[in-house]
Amino acid sequence: MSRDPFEILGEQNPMPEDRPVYTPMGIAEKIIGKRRSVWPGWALAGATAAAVLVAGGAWMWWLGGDNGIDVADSSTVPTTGQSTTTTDPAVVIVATTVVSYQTDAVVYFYLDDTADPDACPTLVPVYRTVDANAPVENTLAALLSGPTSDEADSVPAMSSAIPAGTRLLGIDVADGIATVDLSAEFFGVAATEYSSPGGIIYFYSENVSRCEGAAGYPVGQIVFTLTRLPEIDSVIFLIEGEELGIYATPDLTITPDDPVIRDDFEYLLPAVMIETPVYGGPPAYPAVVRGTANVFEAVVSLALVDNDGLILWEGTTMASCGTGCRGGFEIVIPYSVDTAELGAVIAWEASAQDGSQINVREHPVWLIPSPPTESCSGASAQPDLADQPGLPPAVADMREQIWQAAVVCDYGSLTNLASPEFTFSYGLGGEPALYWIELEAAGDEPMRYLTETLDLPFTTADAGDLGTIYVWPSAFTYPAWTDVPQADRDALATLYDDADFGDWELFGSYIGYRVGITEDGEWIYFVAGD
Amino acid sequence: MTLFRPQTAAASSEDRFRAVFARHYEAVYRYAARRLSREDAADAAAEAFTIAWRKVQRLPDEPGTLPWLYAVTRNVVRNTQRSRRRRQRLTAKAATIAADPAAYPADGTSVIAALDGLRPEEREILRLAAWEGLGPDGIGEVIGCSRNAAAIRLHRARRRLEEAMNETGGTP
Repeated sequence: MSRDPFEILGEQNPMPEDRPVYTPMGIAEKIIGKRRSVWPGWALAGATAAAVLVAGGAWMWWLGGDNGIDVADSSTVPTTGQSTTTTDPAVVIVATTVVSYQTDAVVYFYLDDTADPDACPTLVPVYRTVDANAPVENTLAALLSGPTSDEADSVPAMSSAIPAGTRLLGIDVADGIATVDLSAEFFGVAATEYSSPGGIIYFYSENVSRCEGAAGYPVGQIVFTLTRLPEIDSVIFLIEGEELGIYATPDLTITPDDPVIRDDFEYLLPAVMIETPVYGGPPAYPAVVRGTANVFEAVVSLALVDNDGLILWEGTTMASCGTGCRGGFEIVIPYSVDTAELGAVIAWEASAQDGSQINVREHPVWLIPSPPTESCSGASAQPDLADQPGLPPAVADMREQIWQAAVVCDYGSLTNLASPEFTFSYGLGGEPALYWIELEAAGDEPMRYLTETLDLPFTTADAGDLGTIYVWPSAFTYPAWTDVPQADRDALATLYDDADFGDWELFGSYIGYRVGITEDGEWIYFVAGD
Repeated sequence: MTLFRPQTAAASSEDRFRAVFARHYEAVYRYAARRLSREDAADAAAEAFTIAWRKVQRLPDEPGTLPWLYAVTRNVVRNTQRSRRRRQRLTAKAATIAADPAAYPADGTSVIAALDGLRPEEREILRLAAWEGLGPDGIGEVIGCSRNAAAIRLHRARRRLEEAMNETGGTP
């Protein structure tokens, strides 16, 4: 009699109730005493120590509150899984553990999203989660598994040109080159019937046999999937461990000496390719849309729609190249929804003839009601922004709007508030919101600095054509750090420490974060450094 | 006769937080450790309680406290997974994986493989039921839906797990 999988799942609990967990003493007190820092060193050290000990099944004593921990008998380390090795030295089946954590991954399938029955499907990046212990292998395994039944049955239909049964025999990554060893099924031949043909081999998958360069379709999926990973730029193919030439297109035969790159498979892309957010990806606020396009005059039209198909945002952005060449585009789209819901990002080309929508690509994406304030460093700001007498109404209004958006990491609104010539970093281009999102993720707390800088005393500066600029903090007005009065230094002490002060003394002047708003209420910079 | 001693709001908030921490740290840590590495789990548990302290005035009373903490920890875990992905320096060795799920041994590993093939929300519902031992009430509070909706989704997720086991060749 077969067992209920749910029951088996219960037995696979990686942290069953009978395994002891020792509640580290002192952490609650530290959290209560904690004010500003999002995650101070003590907690990391303590929590990490606790984790190591818990994992090791050891006893732990937490001594003296703040400082010491002591460890006794950490020699017994129970294993939580098993390692399985086959007799074939080339194959190690990854069944080492049932305790795993997942990471986001992206695989490339094909989407039949044109009304034209003769048109060929084009690549689409699709969201997956894979075991993070071996992300490259598991991402490829997810690709080889093909679309889920839901995806295959959806409209437009999603498909894979890689033959079912294709197995990954090995992968090695070195110097940006991935060498992938695939089983004979990649060429539609059962492994048991395979003998090396030598020379150059190729395979047409049935669903794309009508398309030009059909042999390149399965190869392109693997190249796009692997080169999305930051450490891989190009790919070499082996079949059953052999270095064979692979015919991909009339112009492209792949050899082991000559790795292939994404550009070799550009013909597999739709006119407007959305790379981010990926199809069915996890929620994000704001919606950051990136991709490539080969469209008339490089104008990419975009819309964000909610679950009812109502337009939340619509506009255009420019690709870096157009009308005959493919260029990249990137835009941050703010939006507002009441509840988490599945919406869609739609991108298209406006027809040069009549302006109608052509080459439409649509990705379903999760929309969320508000930015994740729990993880926003700006949330630690004072409950209200203190009034500052002496600010012109336009400046005071902009200051308030920036603060309100930064408190909740509302990058979409911040993007709208920033002036077209906004400066956020010296030497970097692109979208300021993307820069801040990265900094927040790295724990650098730009939104805390933004909210709290706006609460510091301000000064004014004459900026020629721009007129008077209102600048926070006031310390910025002094050419030399040594001239900054004690009161201004005291104000800065809520954000910076003696080490920062020492740096500025060495440099000669204040080079911490500052915010600039023109007298007309234009937000022109939030920047740090020299 | 019980005498109540008046307390300041701050003092009672702190006492309440201490009590919640003592009662639920273990469960919150377990929740995180089932989804992250042990090291990240301890960080996630501490971060979840940091958020709980910040929102101590809004902490629901028992028995709603733990599901609320699970919901907070769920967000922390997802953030950790996302930022880990960004930071992770991937090191790929020549080790290989059996792409054919049928190659997994027909034991608990196949049910994990089948679970991995489900939608993220289905996975979470199954884990909440099988590992955290939550019923429809608790699951609904964690994932933000009604008791009825949670019961229906759990039922569907169990069926999908069964189907996935059959598809991947696992023999339950």
